Amino acid sequence: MADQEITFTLNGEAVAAKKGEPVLEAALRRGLHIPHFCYHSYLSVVGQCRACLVDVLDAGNGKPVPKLQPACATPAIQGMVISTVSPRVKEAQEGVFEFLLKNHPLDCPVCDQGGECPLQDQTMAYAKAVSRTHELRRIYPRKELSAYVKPEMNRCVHCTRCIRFTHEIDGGGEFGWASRGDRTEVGIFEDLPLTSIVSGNVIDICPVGALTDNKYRFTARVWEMAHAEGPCTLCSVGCRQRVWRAGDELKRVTAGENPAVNDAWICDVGRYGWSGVHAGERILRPLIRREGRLQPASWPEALGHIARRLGAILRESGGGAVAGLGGAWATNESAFQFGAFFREVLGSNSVDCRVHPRDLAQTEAQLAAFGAVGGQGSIAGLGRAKGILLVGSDPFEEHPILALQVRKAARGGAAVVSVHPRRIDLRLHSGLRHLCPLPGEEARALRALAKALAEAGAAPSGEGAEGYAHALASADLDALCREADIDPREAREAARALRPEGAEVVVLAGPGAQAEAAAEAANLALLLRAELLFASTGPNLQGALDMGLHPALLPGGRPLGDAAAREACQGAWGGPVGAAPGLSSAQVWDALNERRVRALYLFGCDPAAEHPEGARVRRALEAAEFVVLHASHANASLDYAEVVLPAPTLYEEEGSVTNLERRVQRLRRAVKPLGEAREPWRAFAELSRAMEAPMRAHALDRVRLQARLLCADYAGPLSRLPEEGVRLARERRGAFRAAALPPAAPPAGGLRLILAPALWLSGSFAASAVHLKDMPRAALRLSPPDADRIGAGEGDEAEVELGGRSLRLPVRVDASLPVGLAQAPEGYLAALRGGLDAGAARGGAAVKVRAAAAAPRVKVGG
Amino acid sequence: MAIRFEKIVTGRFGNPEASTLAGYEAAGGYQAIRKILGKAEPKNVIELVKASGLRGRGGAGFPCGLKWSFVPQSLNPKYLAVNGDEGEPGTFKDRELMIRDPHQLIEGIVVACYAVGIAKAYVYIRGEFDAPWRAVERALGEAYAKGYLGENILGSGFGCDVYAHRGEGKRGHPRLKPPFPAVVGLYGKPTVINNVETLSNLPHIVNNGAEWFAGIGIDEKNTGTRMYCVSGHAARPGLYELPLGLTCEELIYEHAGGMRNGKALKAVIPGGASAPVLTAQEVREGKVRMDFDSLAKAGSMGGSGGVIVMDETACMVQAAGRLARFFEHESCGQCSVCREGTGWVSEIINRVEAGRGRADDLATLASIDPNMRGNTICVLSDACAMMFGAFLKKFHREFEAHVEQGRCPLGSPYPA
Amino acid sequence: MALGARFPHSPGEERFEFTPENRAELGRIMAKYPARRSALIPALQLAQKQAGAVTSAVMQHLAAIFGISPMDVWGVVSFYSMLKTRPVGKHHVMVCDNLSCALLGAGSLLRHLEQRLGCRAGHTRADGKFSVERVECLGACGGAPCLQINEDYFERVTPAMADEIVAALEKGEPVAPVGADEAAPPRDGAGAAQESAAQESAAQESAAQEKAAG
Ligand SMILES: Cc1cc2nc3c(=O)[nH]c(=O)nc-3n(C[C@H](O)[C@H](O)[C@H](O)COP(=O)(O)O)c2cc1C
Ligand code: SF4
Ligand code: FES
Repeated sequence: MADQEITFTLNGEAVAAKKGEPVLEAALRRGLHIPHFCYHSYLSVVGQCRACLVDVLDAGNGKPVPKLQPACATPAIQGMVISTVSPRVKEAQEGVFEFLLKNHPLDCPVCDQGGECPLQDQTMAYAKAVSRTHELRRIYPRKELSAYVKPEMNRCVHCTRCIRFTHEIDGGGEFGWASRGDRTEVGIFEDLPLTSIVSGNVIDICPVGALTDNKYRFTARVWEMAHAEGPCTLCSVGCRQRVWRAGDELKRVTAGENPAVNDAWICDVGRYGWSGVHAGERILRPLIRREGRLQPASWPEALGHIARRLGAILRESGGGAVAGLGGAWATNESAFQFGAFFREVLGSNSVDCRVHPRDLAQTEAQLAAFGAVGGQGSIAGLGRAKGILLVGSDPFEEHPILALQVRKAARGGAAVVSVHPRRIDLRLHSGLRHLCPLPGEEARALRALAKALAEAGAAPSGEGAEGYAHALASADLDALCREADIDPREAREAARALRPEGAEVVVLAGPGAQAEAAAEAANLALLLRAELLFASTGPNLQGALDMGLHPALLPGGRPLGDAAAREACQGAWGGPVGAAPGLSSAQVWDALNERRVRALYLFGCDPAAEHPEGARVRRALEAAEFVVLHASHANASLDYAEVVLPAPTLYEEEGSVTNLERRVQRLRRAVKPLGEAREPWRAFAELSRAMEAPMRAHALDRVRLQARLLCADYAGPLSRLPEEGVRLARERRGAFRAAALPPAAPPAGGLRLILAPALWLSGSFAASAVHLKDMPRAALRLSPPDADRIGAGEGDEAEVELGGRSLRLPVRVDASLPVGLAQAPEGYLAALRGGLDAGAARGGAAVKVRAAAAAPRVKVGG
Repeated sequence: MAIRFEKIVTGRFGNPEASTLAGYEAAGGYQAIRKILGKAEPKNVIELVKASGLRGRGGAGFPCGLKWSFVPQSLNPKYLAVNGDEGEPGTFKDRELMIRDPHQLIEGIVVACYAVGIAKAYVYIRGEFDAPWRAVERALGEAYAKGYLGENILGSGFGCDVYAHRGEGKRGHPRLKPPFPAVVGLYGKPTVINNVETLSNLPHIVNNGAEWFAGIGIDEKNTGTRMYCVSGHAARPGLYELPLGLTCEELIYEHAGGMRNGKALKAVIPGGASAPVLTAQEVREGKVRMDFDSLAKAGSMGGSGGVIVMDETACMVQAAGRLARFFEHESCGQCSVCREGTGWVSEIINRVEAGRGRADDLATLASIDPNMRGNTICVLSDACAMMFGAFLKKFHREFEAHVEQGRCPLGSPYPA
Repeated sequence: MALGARFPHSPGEERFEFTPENRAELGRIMAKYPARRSALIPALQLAQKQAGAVTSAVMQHLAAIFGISPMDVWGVVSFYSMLKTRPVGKHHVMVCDNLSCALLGAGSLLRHLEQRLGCRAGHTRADGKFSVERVECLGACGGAPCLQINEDYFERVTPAMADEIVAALEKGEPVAPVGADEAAPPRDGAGAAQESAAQESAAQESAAQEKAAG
């Protein structure tokens, strides 16, 4: 009923609408403009600015409405007749604009909103051309908001979009109203800074120059710029965004709209990550290590060098001696070409995009359960869900836009259950239940939850159901809960909350869902008949896998053992594809140490820093005979490279990427590649020529043609992509795996450290983005009692000692942590090249922490 | 037509005991609920109130029974919000009703709850009102103790709870309508909103019948009495409960003692700050009656019953400016029209009053007036426009004189 | 309330906790309403009584109790004039200045009080004993000019009466409210008639005062 199509008449023109949707929304969609300020499609309707008043000549019942009505709050009804041009509407509009301008400063020439200001534009269209105000204008005292949002509140027209954004979408509620009458002030409490990771959205939605972009302002005028619209590539969510450039320089990013992914919001990491493009760490030209130092070289020199070195190794040891890692930070096209280069030119199947063990564990769990990776759930489904199970996920820190979707679902009444060692914060006042197992015992907590669900009547069905049902039947809920350190009563309540009759449930597995937990998350998704989303960290991990960057899977996810699949590849590429699986990223390190693998090609990844077992990885890199680093930014792995090839960032490349819900989106080049960076797919083709084994795909359309041929469901999207992209969903069917849980770890004494990703600190790209340096600093989070115990307060420095090494981090006192558990961001520790092999230890790594120095107060986010 | 004079809601005001439960009972209190609870069909109670012709005493004069019948019976819970805000300048009746006869109000609340099927009522008393809060709280305690409130009142099977209330803990922002409060009101539930005086009439209507009530007042649409709150330059300002339909002159001259010091009447605001001012001439020559419909016909309104009387010494620009300041202060700030309009109007009028008026100020004022009407969420903006629009139109010469002379011709008799 | 007001921070105000009695009282109030938030204004009034003013610490404490942002609390505090962010005097004198009271000399009464107390409207006297404020309609227009001192109403106040009240308060003597209290005569015609004489002289007195002042 809600989606019933109706028609009404606006100024004599027929307008199609969904029954009950705001008249204003339907009119704008139809291209008929009605002035408005407070209305925003993704915020609640408040009808406060009064700019959208219209004359309802016929309310659909043959009768006019006596008073003018706000179009934003008037539901569309079949047969309505509406005028926005009648004399009384005109008069009201002129009145409203006069009131809106009554206290608005006359500073348009120096206002950053100029050129894209709804107040300015609509004033030109709807207001009287004379000013009759002689009064002094209202002046609010100055306050600062954050490093990103620059307030100029005298320009505020009180549309309250920022208030509604922070209350409804973000949940922090930092903006609000104060006072009343014409002293009414929109603003923040005292000078508490805006710290939310999505706060930059208020810049986009403010219809005047009251909230402007502090990093962008005064650097360009909107009419000097052009923009490209496409997915953000800072994480795997793929929010639609607009990337603005003036000449060859990126200037800013604003949110784009995609109701299937990000509505109209992006996070601040996506908004400011572009500053990494122009960073000093960029690799601008090929480098070759000569006499121990990397020295500039030309492309032909570098390619020739690689060809010679690889050629020799191939001749001596065969393709098996070369391994390739990476591709999760590349376009589908470049990823495809990377795989093709390995299989076709080098004859090696040892190519893997899953550099982090977490990604490996998660994808293998999905392969085991579903025979494929991804496509079992959708982001929009998350926002619509009636029940959500979060497994090892802290979305505000990892994938902020997913946090907004979870919040949206919760506002719609969804029950949310989080299984995470910390009591994660979703800024929900109700509806969020926490099961906080000991770190490493997430799987056990999930098994307990499954048991509780079974008690409440959920029954596994389908492949493997019997075994799983048996495992559940023999499980002892109380024992599981005891071992995982959760409360069985809470587990039972969570199970009941997740299964309101016939509810749509989504399981979201975050970076914390590793190994057994990832497998158990898949079981729970099957048990709940839920959608399932795995949220990886690499922006295009899904696409890279689909393109065949897996030692045992060919493009299209077809197994290497499938002769027909190999034949298809041979048909496309020309050369034979070996049937023996290659080495996975987990196997490469030992193989390098044992000299079974002699050469390593690193494509857009940095295992030296990002791999949690840093020391082991660095030993292997040391042992490697020949390492190529093909990347956009200098990183820790650079130290081991003999040849370095410059890659463009994803802001500089055409192509497509696939997000975590398997949505393929078109990436448009926003600026020309910096320096001598050239598209990786082209670099691989050139390298193949240098190796005298030229690949057939030497142009983008040829790459795409091959990819379409080999990846069945990409055929459509790669030929023509609709603006919002195409989600390649898969049937939600799989097999339960009733693996025995590993024995519970004996209770660990002392402080344990877990590493968790923070989006703004992850990867060399984010680390190089100057604007992201204003994000909260990396910190060691301690529970209040632990902080007290070591005598450190918020912002003091602590010395963290682990595995014989130590480093200093500021302390953040965080009540979401249980006593005995500390947390640090993994990306940051990696960037320090500190080599803390912590993440691998189940249950967190034993760590010693002591107060080092009382540092000046850290200003968070400001 | 002869109008019957009879006090209804203030009948016990002379009796200090009436505010206690014992006093109220002794004076015949709590008989109305004995009469109907569990005995009369709720819908018949609504019919009774409809037949009585009782209209809201809070400002809009909406028929009470009809308002009740809009509430969907099937949606539960439903609430009764008792409006004890008394926000309109010139009005001072609800405060007295709450202090002097709180049980009468409570009994009226129970009648309303029974009729509409409401189990919880909230008496909103503004934060500044301490004595009424204490009086109502005390009376509620007494009523609970005697079983007039709570579960199963007087063994009738009907129960309801009543609480004194300071609002929802939010800024006082009128909500966008529709949905109307009858469907989505207090705490998002269907809600009846009634004024304290309106509810205080109910026990009497139940006790004495609709016909009796309808027999007081000028016609079938203007029945019962009103508590006229006479203030300003009348010789005896105060509360006068009188039947609907007596004339303004009768109210002032026969009841409120005429004009202070024998001065001449200049203007009357007949229904609280929002009601358009009437000139002495209109009052005299029009024989304006003080009921809802007559006042509407005269271009003003009965509003909240606040009758502000002004004599020849009063400066109309100053009066308008003083009221404009009130509207500016009261504007909740959400609608651009009202937030900016009330401030602007107040600034212009007070500037004119202070002798700093600009030549185009009066024209600007006149053109702001229509823009402030009918274009906002609630009618505070309209009320402000009605107020200054009437002053400006009816006393235009006085405004002009201020601008021309650059000072108040009357010497700013009541500087603030 | 001043635009963008910042609140006084003195060391003593860094922290606010309800006394156990007030916390219990707040619990009782919360239980009365379907939404806890309805207890916010009573809670603010309790806190104001306890701490002398609704300070920044009070607002942050209440935000935590009610699970809302401090800005939401400030939004409410700045909306209602009875909530104060700075301590008012021991005796807070509120003089109604709306039309009905203005017509009967509220302006001169206010000025008289300012002089008598040595304290301008909107301020608190240095000794903290008195503060004066000009307020909107108190809802006692029939007793104009009227004023409220703390919780008590005083109606038909002449400058002389104001002096008496102030003198008594200065001496720490109790002062009975004058006006709409259960015990006071009703404001109907009869009651008003008795008072009209007093009323008249009050008006005359304030007019005289005005001349003297003007
Ligand atoms: C700006 C504004 C202020 C109002 N103030 C009051 C008030 O102080 N007391 C009151 O009872 N009604 C007031 N009303 C009217 C109420 O909205 C409502 O109509 C009334 O309380 C309903 O009760 P009744 O039908 O019994 O009159 C006001 C309305 C508006 C638009
Ligand atoms: S008209 Fe004024 S008081 Fe009413 S809702 Fe709008 S801004 Fe608030
Ligand atoms: S857009 Fe409709 S009132 Fe603001």
